[in-house]
Amino acid sequence: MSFALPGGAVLYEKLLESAPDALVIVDRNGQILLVNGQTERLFAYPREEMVGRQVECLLPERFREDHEAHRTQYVDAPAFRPMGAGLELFGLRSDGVEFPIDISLSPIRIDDDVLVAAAIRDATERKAVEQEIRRLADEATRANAAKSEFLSRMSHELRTPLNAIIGFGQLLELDELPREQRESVAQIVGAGRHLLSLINEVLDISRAEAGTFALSVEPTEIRSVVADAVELVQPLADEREARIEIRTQDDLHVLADRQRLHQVLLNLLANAVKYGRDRGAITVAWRPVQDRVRVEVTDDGSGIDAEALGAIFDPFERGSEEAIEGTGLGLAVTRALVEAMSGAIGVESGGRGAGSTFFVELVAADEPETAGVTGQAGGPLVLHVDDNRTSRRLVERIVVGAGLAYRGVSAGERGIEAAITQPPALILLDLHLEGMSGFDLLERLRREPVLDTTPIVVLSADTSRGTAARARALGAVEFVAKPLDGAELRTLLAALVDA
Amino acid sequence: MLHIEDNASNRKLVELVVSRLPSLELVEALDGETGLELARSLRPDLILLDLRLPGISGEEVLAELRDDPTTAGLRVVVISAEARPGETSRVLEGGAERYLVKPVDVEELLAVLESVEAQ
Repeated sequence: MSFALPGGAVLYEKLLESAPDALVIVDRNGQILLVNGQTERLFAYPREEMVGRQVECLLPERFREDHEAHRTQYVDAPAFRPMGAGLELFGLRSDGVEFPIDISLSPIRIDDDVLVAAAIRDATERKAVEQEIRRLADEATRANAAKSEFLSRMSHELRTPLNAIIGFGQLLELDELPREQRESVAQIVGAGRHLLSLINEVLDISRAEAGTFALSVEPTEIRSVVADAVELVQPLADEREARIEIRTQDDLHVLADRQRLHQVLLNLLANAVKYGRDRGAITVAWRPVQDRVRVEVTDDGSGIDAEALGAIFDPFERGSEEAIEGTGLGLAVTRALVEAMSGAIGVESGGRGAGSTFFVELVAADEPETAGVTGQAGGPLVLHVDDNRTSRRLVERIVVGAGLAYRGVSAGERGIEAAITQPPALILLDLHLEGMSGFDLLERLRREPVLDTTPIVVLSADTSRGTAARARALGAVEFVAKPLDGAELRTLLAALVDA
Repeated sequence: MLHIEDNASNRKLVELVVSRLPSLELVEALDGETGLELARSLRPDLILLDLRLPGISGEEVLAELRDDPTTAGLRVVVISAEARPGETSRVLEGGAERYLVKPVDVEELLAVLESVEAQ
């Protein structure tokens, strides 16, 4: 398609002259052939004083030599170079004032010759904006550090008088006091503890926001964390005769700090009880949502007004006029924790009277190579090698109940790896393993130098005397017949592990 | 037992808690230097140590106690308003038996003192 442009060649000239950028065309030797009106305005030269001169006249003295070298290289291998792809460059006005510029270059091939077209833009404003942004970012970082430092000192300064308030109050509580005085003291101590919770939660929020929380994020199994949290909140639920039901049994893992996830769930559950109704029903459930896992805590309590929903995670917003005990920071801390673990938190409610569902979404993770350690963190570790999940759960409950740390692994090879990387205080070995004889594994474990002093107890449903004798001959200290007797295992743990 | 603490109110609180256990005798030091001297001469069964002290800090007191073979075995329980997790673990690694964060729970303190009484 072709049609006549109005103005003919004049149109090209008008285009050149009206361009918002300074346009300069130089020959292969750097001599200026053509400039437009914006070039005159930017560099404050009439164009006849520029055309015919070396382009370096538009640069400050200190750049000229390098520029000549670059120009020669460019002509040898010309290519389009956009703005912002270059180095820090400055222009020089006729009155000697320097200014930062952005420049783009494009080769123009005419016959066998190469000309270079440069579009030049005054970068003074852009640079100023960038500098301002940097300054503001630095200031924000400094202010944040100052805030953390301030809160930390504040915490210290507040704890000292609180030590007296709570401490002397507690001392009074130890004595026999008349009822009225006892009530007064209880108020003092209670208010002191409330203040302490506020301090701790403000510190938590500040640390989470500053990213200075010591988080150990790893694949964490949701089911056991939920179970722990439910168990802890159960007495509170019992007081209100509320029922907590765990709806899901799926073993899903998320990337989280176990202790902090526990804190998050505990907080949501405690809220569900506090803001729920007497004899209410609370449910906990989880399911995969794309590459995340969503955990939901639902209550059938008073619900949350639509206008209060948006602010519910803000500090000191309660979403309810009812006088319910708390610092008003719980959900703010919870959100800060979830976000520090790269997760999201939210709430849905059908409005007043319709109950509410709080949900947490965390990044889904695969089951870790060796299942995580549960129970007493840092305590003596009991390694349990057993292919049967139910059987692992049973032993886990007994071991954790005895105040020890538990790690359950399934396959034989994994068992060896787990035993060597983190040598346990005791190994419980099931003889019935898939793809490997339990006796072979026992022999291999006994040969590992790091497990030299680790007692190994063999568990087996095969109670024939030969099996027990062979296990002992291969280095097992004890043989325990299945089905397991909890009391027997507990006695054994107490005898073999120094808790 | 020896209590090294500059804050009068905190000293009074510990004094009252200790007085509930008649077999315990309490000696107080208001700064680290004095605390160290008393620790060396009295060799108490327990030292309760504050961290922010005038002069040498509680952490330095703890380090000196541990460096000196005559005091290295003494039990030290730190009571401090410093709640930063990093600080807590550093002091425990420095050889404190326990780290009680202020406000200290009187029941917990009593339990510590009862363990001294039982020695």
